[in-house]
Amino acid sequence: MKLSIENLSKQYRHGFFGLKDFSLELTPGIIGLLGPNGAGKSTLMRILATINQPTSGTVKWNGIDILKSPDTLRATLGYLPQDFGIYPNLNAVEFLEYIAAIKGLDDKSARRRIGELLQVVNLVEAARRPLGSYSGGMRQRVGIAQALLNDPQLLIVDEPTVGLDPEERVRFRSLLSDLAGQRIIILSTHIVSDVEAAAREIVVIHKGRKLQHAAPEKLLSLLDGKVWQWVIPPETLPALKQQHLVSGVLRRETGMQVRVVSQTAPAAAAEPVAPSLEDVYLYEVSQGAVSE
Amino acid sequence: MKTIRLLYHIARADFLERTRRASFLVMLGLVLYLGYLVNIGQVTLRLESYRGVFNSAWVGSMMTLVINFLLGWFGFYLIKGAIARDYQTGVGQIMATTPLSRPLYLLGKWLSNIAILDLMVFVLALAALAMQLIQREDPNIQVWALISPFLFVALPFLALVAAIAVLFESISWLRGSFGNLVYFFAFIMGIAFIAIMFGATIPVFDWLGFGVFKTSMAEAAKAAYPNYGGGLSLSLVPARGDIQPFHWAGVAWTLPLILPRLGILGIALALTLVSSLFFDRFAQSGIPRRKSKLVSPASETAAAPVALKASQPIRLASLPVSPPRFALGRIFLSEWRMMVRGMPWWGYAAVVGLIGASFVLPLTNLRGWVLPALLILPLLVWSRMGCREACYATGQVVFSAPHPIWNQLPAIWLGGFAVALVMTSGVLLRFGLAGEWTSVIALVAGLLFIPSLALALGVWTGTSKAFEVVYAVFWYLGVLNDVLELDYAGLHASGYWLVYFFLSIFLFGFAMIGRQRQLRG
Repeated sequence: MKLSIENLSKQYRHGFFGLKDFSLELTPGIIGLLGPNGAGKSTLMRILATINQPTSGTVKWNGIDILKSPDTLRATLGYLPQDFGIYPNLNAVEFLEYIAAIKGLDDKSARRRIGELLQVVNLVEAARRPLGSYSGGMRQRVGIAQALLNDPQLLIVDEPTVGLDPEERVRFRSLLSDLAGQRIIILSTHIVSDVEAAAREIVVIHKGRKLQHAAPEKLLSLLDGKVWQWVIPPETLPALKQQHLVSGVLRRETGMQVRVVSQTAPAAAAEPVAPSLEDVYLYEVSQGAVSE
Repeated sequence: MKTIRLLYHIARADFLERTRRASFLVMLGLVLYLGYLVNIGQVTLRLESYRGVFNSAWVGSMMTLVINFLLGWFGFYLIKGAIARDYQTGVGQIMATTPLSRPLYLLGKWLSNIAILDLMVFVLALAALAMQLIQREDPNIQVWALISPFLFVALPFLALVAAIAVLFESISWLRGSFGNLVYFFAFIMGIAFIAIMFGATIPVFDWLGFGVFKTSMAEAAKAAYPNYGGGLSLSLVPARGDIQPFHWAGVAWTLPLILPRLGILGIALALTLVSSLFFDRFAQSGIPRRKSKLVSPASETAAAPVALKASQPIRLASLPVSPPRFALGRIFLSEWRMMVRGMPWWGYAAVVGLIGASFVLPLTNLRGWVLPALLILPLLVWSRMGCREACYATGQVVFSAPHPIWNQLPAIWLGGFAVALVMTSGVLLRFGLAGEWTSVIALVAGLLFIPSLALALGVWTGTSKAFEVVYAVFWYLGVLNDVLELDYAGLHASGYWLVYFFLSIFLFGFAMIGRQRQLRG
């Protein structure tokens, strides 16, 4: 099972690039896609989900070009878009039956799968209520269920934990980890802790370009000895931000506890600390911005 | 000053948002086409068998009446949606948290509506000028005679149409498709009817403006042709026979003529302000919901006791690997559910009553009112075909499924056809029992045509509005008013069934191409 992305570019009107020369090769496991707003994450996922066409480049699923024959991938694709709607007059079971039918599931498998999924997303009790009466979090769970209906080999989830309460978020992460063994899961999110908890590999994307693609441990090792922490008076924070990349600020009784990414100790009181994925992400994005 | 600035910015933002959409170019294209139809003589203003020489006064006045009748009727659909968009996009939620008052917000939308319609008036004024130059019956361009009818007659009435659009959008149950249907008939049975019946005696009700021009035009025609009997009509078909020209110098704009026009503007302003009484200021979401079914925080947390613990392992059984199956029957069933659900109880009662009546009433009644009613009642059911994915933002999910064209489109079409078939089942049976097989064939061709038209317009426009307007025109002119070419159901002329049969096939193919285009992003 392999998804190969080669030199993918998507150019919009006025010459703006949503993606530029983006290449990636993915094998089973969870791949976290990190990037700021407008980085090109959703553009990439919409192309992989066969909804949009790139300007140039190829995407191959097990060697087959999905831009030429998208149905090859669609048969085994699960996709949870960032913004999606529901039909307000159908209930969850009816909506999932509909999606199962258009995904080509046979009736028996669909019924069994819908029953399981409603349990997994904790919607058994609300399953017969019209979707129009659902809260945002409940709709999001219906979205997760529809993405898993056909037991997809490629699962693309865009900001899947938006609107979920903390308990549901943990359940969803656990579900993703459980599913990851036999399929490729592309997880895009702003919530670094979601990626940190589940991803085998992380791709950092900025302004349509790939900045990093590595295992979390390897990414963390990039900043070994380069993250510093100490407490400063609050009034010096603006000046510090101008000089260094500040990756975290916490208010303490004695002042502001800051985390700074720097090659050398930024202050006499600064202590080296273990880097977090958030430090790496901010560092990579800032480096990407500098190189522009 | 601050208020004017605020109004300007509300209107400006809305105007820019609308004019930068691709659909605005389509609108302009339609308006230009209307100008072209007038230029080639397809739409004409006549005083029985006479018409004015194509001078500035005549082309300006004729175009003004065309604008008031056609843009007044269909322009409503072009501008309606300014407030609905703020509901849908969530911008309204942001506005609701500002000190912006209801009347100011609505006035801003009204001004934006006016700006859009006036832009179209400007385009048609240029078309009128082109007409004078092309016809060359009177090459002297008299600017005031050309533009004064637009200023005094078209702009006030379109301001009223803009205000009606604001009113409809302020009332929750008129905001959607039902409101579109209501306006279609309200224009003919209300606005046009009042103007024709009372416009002569109460000038402020002469919103279409026929009374403004009629007196002086009639005097000029009578002076040139004493046989002229006093009639004036705006015709949507080319003039037949010998049409004699006469010279008309235009309207002498006096205060008694101008004041009622300003009165119409005043009515429009008042209507916009009255709309604020109905406007909920984004207190509810765009989709009306039944209160009893709203989820309460308590009912959501009620599910918590049975919730699995976060740490509990979750296992999903694997599905056997098999190619996707073509499940037309199940997709059709889901499409059918989506089509027929969501109506109020009295809607279902009306449908059942009418279908029941079609089995027992005499054939003359069936032709007279039962069949026309059966053909218009499901309008809002059909109008969602092909655009449901856009309306409910489910496109990304639906279009990423295998074979989205061949799996889904035929099922949607079948759903629409099934609705039409169920509605007319009694009529078809009765025609069959009476041996009226030509009527049966013609009606079936009409039933094929309806879902095909709905699907094609829904897919290509992404909204329900286009079908609601186009179908209502077909129904009003073809089924109710004997315009034989548009009689898709064969109620008055069954000879066109083959045309509608092939048109149905073409429209279905057109819908498929449209969906293919959507899939390419």
